[in-house]
Amino acid sequence: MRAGGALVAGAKMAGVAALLFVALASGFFLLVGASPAPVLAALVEGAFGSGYALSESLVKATPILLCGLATLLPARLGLISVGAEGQLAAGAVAGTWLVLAAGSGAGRATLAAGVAAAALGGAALGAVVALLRARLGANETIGTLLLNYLPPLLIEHLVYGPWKDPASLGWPATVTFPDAARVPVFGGTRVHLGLVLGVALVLLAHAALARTRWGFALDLLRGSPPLAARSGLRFGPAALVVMALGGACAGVAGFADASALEGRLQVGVAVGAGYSGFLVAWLARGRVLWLLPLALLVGGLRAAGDNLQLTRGLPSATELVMQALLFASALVADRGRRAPVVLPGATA
Amino acid sequence: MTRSEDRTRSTRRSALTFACCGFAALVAFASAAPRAVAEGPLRVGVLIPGSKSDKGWMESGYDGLKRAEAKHGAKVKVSFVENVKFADMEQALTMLATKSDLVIGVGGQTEASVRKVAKRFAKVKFSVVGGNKGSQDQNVAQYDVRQAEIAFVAGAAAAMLSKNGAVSYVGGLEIPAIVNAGKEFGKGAKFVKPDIKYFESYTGDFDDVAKSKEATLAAIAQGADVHYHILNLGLRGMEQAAREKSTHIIGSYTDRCGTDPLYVAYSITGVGYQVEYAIDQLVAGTWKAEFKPFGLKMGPKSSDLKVCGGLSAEQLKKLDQIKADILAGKIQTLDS
Amino acid sequence: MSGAWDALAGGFAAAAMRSATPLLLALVGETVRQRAGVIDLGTEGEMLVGAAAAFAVTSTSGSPALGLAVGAVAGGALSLLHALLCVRLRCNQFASGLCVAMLGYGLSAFAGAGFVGQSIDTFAPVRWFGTPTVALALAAVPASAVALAWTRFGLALRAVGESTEAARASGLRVEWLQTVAVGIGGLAAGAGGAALSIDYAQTWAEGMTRGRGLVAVGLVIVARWNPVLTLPAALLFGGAEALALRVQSTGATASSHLLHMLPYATSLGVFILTCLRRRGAATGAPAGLAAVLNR
Repeated sequence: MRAGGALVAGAKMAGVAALLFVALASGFFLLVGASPAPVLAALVEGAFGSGYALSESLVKATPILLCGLATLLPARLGLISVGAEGQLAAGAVAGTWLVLAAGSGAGRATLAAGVAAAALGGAALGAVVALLRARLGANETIGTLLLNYLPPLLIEHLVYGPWKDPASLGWPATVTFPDAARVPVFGGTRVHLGLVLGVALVLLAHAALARTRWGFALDLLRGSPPLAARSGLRFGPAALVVMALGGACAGVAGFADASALEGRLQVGVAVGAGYSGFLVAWLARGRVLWLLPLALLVGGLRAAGDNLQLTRGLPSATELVMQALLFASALVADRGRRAPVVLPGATA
Repeated sequence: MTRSEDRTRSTRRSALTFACCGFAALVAFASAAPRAVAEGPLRVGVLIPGSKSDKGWMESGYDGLKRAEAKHGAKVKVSFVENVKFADMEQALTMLATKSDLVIGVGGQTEASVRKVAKRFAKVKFSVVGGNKGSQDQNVAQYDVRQAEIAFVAGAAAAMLSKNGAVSYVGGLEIPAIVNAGKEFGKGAKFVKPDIKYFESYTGDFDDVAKSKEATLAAIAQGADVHYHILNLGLRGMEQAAREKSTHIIGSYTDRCGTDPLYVAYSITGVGYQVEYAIDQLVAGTWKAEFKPFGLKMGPKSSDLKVCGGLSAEQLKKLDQIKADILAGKIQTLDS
Repeated sequence: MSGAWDALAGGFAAAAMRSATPLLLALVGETVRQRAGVIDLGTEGEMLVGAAAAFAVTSTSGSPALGLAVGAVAGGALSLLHALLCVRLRCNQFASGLCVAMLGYGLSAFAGAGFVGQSIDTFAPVRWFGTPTVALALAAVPASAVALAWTRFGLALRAVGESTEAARASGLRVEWLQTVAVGIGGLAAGAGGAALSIDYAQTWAEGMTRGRGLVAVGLVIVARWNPVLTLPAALLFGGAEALALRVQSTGATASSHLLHMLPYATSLGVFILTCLRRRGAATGAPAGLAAVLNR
């Protein structure tokens, strides 16, 4: 398939999806008694209308970007993993554990170690699901979805229990991380280094998937299993690698957000980023670079939610509906495409 | 590798470079700090972390907001956001701060975020309803609800109202404010009836209906027939248990005597009163950055206990005496 | 010690059944769907819209029966989106389901925003079962088993689930049948959500199903797509939840948050065990569904 042709087709599809989204969103707003045009304008304003709004969109986009990778990497093998939500929580726990263990001796090395621990935590969760799929044939979508509920509960237990900061009089949280162990932020904003890391990982993944033997092996395993088998490639180890790598990305997202934004672990860290990451990966249709603008788009949508409440009186749940409508629009616009899609396509 | 692929690769490369530069530019643009504008009526922004119709803490705050709005008319313009998750609080507060002269956070869970945002908006005033002592920032006021104090009085009332000689308390999170209230409730009960049986438990979640129902049922199984609580949505579970087993509850925040036979008394905690106070102070120009304890000291709208019935005049007098003793310092209660 | 045992065991079966009821309703519905070859991850969203709609209606009308009915219809209506996306438009079933789940979560949060924390009048107790929803769920189990095994409609559904080509060749209207199956599942899921909000918890809170819908999808596999086995599967979850709640009241100082993991860990555990014993999630599945699960 020619690259140019794919680009045009992709643009057409994106256009159709965008139009459909605006139509559906407008329909929804009319249904709930709000006039669509000002609401959509408020959405855009809340997402990109000012320097601050943009910075908040970037803040929201950062974990979404990383969780998008967490979905997209397994998807290149044909695995549909929705586990980013649990993996980011697991990463947050692992990274926090390390920072707390370092105690007062924390330095820049602690930060790096924390990020590494977070990556390992998320990777472990991903690896478990990969093993279940490879060895037992346990469907990974169901496995990751069920597993998603456990790490956040672990965070609740730890933050309200053994890791609770005894000096915190208000809401429970862990002790504040020492400054050296916090992911740095840019200037006066809340945008943190995790964004740079995410962009770097996306570029790395793009290069690796497009140019290395590994990327080619993944394509083969997904597209032509008999040919892959004849070439000596095996599904199990490949699944393990992609799920672990994806999980690592999500894990880093969780820890980076916790340490940069709040400087401690709290219940509800980056909640929802996993599912938004899945959406973004799906919208990107397997093309890694598209994660960048799409994560910003969905991040902006999430950031605009509160603005909608304040300026148009709509409940904060509106942005969830918007995400779902965006998803639906993309699914509908995608139908009828017989050309091979990188993500697992239609069945039956 | 064909030539068209080469061209595509170079196109991709330049697209990539462009995208990277674009991204860097975005981040630079985004670093522009927000600006606050001030003119016209006094603007108040209120952050309600929960639901404004929760029949509890948040609703009391919302009612106070509405009362202040009605009272001051055109002099103030009040806006609010509700159902704000923890991770979004900082952003919501920043948004409110850019448009307000006074920002009010309804609940101790907003305090950490308020303090952070307050540092960036030195000219905006911030009030935390249900705040804690801590360090004093120049533009932040914390109002202490002193729930433990009124819990003592509630405990006394519960001991008087209990026919089995056993009372119980269910709290949500096990944080100092909630635990202290539980302790004081027990102390108040024992103050009236030294041999009273007292059960306290913490479900770990203010909103979990099933857990608080189970906790209440467990206490009822041990004989408790009057229950107190600091719960949010979880109160529904306590109600279900009490309804099933025909026991009674002491409600909180607002006086709703007569609306539900399940409730024999209500402790008043003026969350809304504190919101009103903040706005009143703003309008009068006397707003101060302070840690202000409310409680009984600030009057019946701030803290009180209303018994709906079932107590003799003498017993009611005793309750009044207890309140007076607390005010006079003869009875010491824990800080909220 | 006997006091603790009483606290733990007294009425345990009833508590487990009450806890399992919302899940069981959704589980039966999803079993019917999967037998027809469609897997719906959106069950969670359908349960949530059912819960929100039922609560809103009961709160405003005062009739829990009406609320239950409306809740079921709401779930069914949302499920039609899934049918549109994956039956008509042939989208990937997992993606379509997740889209429906997201939409259901958002819509229910939206609709329920004004009703958070309200109280309602619930069902009057029913003898033997406790509440009508328990009776409904228990009745749904044999009803679905009989319908699938012995009615023409059930046979047609099963044929579609085995092979859409063969079913089409023998004159069955495949898309229509699958849409109906999806709708039935949606009605059941909506009813399950309604049972949760107006009966079990008697309140509404955003996202209150907390994964029950997804557990239902997983437990269909554990029940080997057999409607009769949905009951023990649901009781596993319900029992774990009841146990978790009760351990606390015995005075044992276990963390309530860790205990809260029990139902999910149990469901995940049996899911894994099932795959272990049968060498794969799809063994024993309707052939058409196996293709979706194994890809």
